[in-house]
Amino acid sequence: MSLNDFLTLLTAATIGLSCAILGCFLVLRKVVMVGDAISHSVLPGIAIAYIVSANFNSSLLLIGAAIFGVITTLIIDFFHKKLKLQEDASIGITFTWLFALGVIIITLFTESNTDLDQDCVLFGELSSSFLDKIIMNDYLIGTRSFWMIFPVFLIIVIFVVRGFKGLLLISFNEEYAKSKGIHVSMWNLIFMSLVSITTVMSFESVGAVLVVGLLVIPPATAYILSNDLKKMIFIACGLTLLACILGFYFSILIDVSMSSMVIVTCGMLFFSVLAYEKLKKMLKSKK
Amino acid sequence: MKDTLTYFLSDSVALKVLLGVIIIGATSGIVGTFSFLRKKTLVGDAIAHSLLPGICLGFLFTGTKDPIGLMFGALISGWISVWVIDYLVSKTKLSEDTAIAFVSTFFFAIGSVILSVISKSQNGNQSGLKDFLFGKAATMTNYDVNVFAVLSVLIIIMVTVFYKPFKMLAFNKEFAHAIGWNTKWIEFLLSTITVLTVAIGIQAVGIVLTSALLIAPSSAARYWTNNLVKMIIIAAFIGMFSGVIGVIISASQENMPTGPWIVFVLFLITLLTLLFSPQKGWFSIQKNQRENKRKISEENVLKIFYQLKESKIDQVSYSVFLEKRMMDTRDLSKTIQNLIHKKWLKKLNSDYSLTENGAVEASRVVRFHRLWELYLTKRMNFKEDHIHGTAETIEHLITPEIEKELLKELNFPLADPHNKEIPYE
Amino acid sequence: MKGKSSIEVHNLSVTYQNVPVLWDIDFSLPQGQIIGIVGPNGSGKSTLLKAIMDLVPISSGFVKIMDKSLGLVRDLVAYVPQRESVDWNFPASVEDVVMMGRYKKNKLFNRLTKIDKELVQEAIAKVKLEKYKDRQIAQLSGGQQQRVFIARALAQGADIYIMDEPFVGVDMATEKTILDLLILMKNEGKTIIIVHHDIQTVSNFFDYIVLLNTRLIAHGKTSETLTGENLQATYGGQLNLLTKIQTLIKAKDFPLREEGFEDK
Repeated sequence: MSLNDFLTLLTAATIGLSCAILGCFLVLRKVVMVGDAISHSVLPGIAIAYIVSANFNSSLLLIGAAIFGVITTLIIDFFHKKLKLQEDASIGITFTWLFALGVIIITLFTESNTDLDQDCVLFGELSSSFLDKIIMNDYLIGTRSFWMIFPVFLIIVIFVVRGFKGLLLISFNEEYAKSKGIHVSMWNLIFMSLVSITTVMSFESVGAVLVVGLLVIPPATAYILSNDLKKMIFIACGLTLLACILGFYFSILIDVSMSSMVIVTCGMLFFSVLAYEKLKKMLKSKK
Repeated sequence: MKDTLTYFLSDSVALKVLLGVIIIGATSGIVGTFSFLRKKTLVGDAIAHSLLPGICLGFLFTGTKDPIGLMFGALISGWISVWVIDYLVSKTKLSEDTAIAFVSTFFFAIGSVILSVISKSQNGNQSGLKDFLFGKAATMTNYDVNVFAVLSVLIIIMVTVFYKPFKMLAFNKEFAHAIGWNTKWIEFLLSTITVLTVAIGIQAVGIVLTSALLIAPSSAARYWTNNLVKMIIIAAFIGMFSGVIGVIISASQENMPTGPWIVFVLFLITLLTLLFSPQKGWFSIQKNQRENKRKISEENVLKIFYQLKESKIDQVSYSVFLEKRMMDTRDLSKTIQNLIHKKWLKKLNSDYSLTENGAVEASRVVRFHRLWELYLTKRMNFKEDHIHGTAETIEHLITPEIEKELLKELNFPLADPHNKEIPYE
Repeated sequence: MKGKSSIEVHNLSVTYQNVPVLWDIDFSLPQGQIIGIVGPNGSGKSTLLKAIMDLVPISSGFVKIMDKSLGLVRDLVAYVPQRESVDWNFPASVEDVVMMGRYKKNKLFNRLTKIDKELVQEAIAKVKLEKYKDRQIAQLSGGQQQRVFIARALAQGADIYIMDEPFVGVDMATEKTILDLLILMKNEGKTIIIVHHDIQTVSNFFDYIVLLNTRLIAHGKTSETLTGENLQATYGGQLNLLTKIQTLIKAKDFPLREEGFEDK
């Protein structure tokens, strides 16, 4: 494995693991579509950050972009709770509008040949992430995209480890959590902010649509496989790592975009697991 | 603006584009209504993403961008996606939102893999495929529009013919099943129509934004009417209108994307509807509540005047009134102004008193209050010290019919539980 | 201890989506008894519990628990929600769920102590689920799932237990286990408040009942309160006029209580 391959994989794995951990709670809380909406709605934030700083280097601005993700959940709530529109429509209207706004901002304020082109918005490109190396005192200390996602990954790990009880309570039964005096909406806000920051930081590498795949497919697979929340998180992480490595080699093999191939691999792993479980059940019933 | 208009009317290509978005907008509005009522609009989003592999494969097999071939591929992958979502929800423990997000990203990833294979194996020819990602309303050809028109007519005919079963499915699936409809088949038909609609929708606004075409017109239409046929027609009009405005806006400047502008207009229309629609809108509800409040204040003031009259005080000044009842002074002076305007109160020097009409109104309010107190003690077993609070509100609500019923049920009582006289006209 | 009230409800009114579901409820409950809140479906029983636990917004009135507001005595009150309120496919074992009973608002970031773990084992033993403690909760029967919920409340070590329909969909064995347990808890001085809709079993289960049908019908000792007249009032259907008023309130978006307008 060359150094570049390693750096690409490292970035992919860090993004994937961040998504897998958060995704487990999205799946269990049945709010996957809110996560999906957030990943699309951060586009205007990213576009503005990009235009203001004229390049992608300002990570602070990008964290600001994540505010759009939080705003998304507020707008969805506003439509659903205040204006009494049904929930699925509230989600759909909100994210399509913000995504459209993002595309409009991009076309209005940028030249047609910028980095932030429309393809990148949808797919991102992992395999070019090794191009942007950071070198300090002659030592290579990783790529820029890795250093964008890595602090987020650390925060997520700390949050989930420290706040495990709270997350477990609000995921299992919000009403019970409330009866214990737990501030469910605050926990939700913090959680959704992390989802938002994660999608922003992985935007360049995997794009708005495919990041949802990382958020939902490994956790869904792990959910089918496991009976224990901690195990579920570990299995989701394991599957993500496997999918990154396999997807990486597949993408080289047939020479296609790596980010898409990783998601396709995740999906194939899911169906393998589903088939395995079916088979196991069939064998059991025969006995 | 005028230039743009004349441009559209004089240019046959531009007219075609307009015609195209009108067809797409109307069809999506109609079909979206059923998705909306079944609370399955996000399945439309999953379908849109899932069409990518079908379209790419259609291109690979036919080797051209002929919309019929692509549409065929789209139909097949759309069907599969709907089936997979159904399977995951019914046969595994995954919930619907997980299944939808799973299918849409997995299929989309497959599509983008095929897309990158195509772009590497052939050159030039595939460029049009990428149009599906963000829509290509501005570059629609005559042939495209003709194909859309035919499909759209087909969809509208299907909706008309199967209107009743679709309505039943949207209204109450269990009931439809119970009375012997083959709901599986109806659902399949409706999914097929939805897939076709999404397939032509993505030509205009692209994969990511197509779900807005299904969701927004029907959401807005729901706030204008309770009648399904009217809702469908309104949704179709909103779809068409947004399409036209979106095209006009995007044509006014170079390099302006059409799809996002259509979605932007759709969102604005929906938001404005939700805020301003005459019956269910946010503002009309607020206004209603303000009017309720005004009515409550007025009737409360009248009631106090009546009670003062009962204790032989006919005229009362502002400050004496406030001693009798605590009330926000601004609210009180406004309410008194309203009552004078209605000629229910009159002003003599600095004192106020009830007019003849005002006295009738006041006795009505007091009657309702006391009747309801009696009802609470007699029928709801409330203790006497607990009835006043509820009666304070209900007195403002009682309609003549309810009064009639109350009187009948309580057998025209003369006194309330506190032994105060119930006034009759 | 007896004589003092466990829960006081004052002039409580609750509206749900503009429809009043509880009208001016006013009662206080004794301590150390098994108390049933009884009424037909849709009579607002569960809403009453949720209002007591501060889970739904209250239009008027207030609730006191041991003479204090809920925020001050939260750890003394254990809430057992309806069994259907959760997705039992959740990846957790019996022990995991019972452990949640030991989670406390202010100690959410602390580790559980040895005592916590012992209390959890004790609670599991009390509901006779020792054999199943590592089992995933989806693989339990309905009755066993209900017992998991009760064990979770027991683990909390509260004084007042508020249970929403614990006898729905449980087998005979579970019913007996739960009842025995309730009596045991009562003997330890605990107060147990149970929402119940099955009128047949009321006199066997409860010392004290509250009859409810959107309004308070009666409350008191079971033997004195369970009269034909009261039952007729509770189960005899909604009052025609009341239903009409409810519809009007919803249609006109009327507030259930006036604001800023007080009598002197």
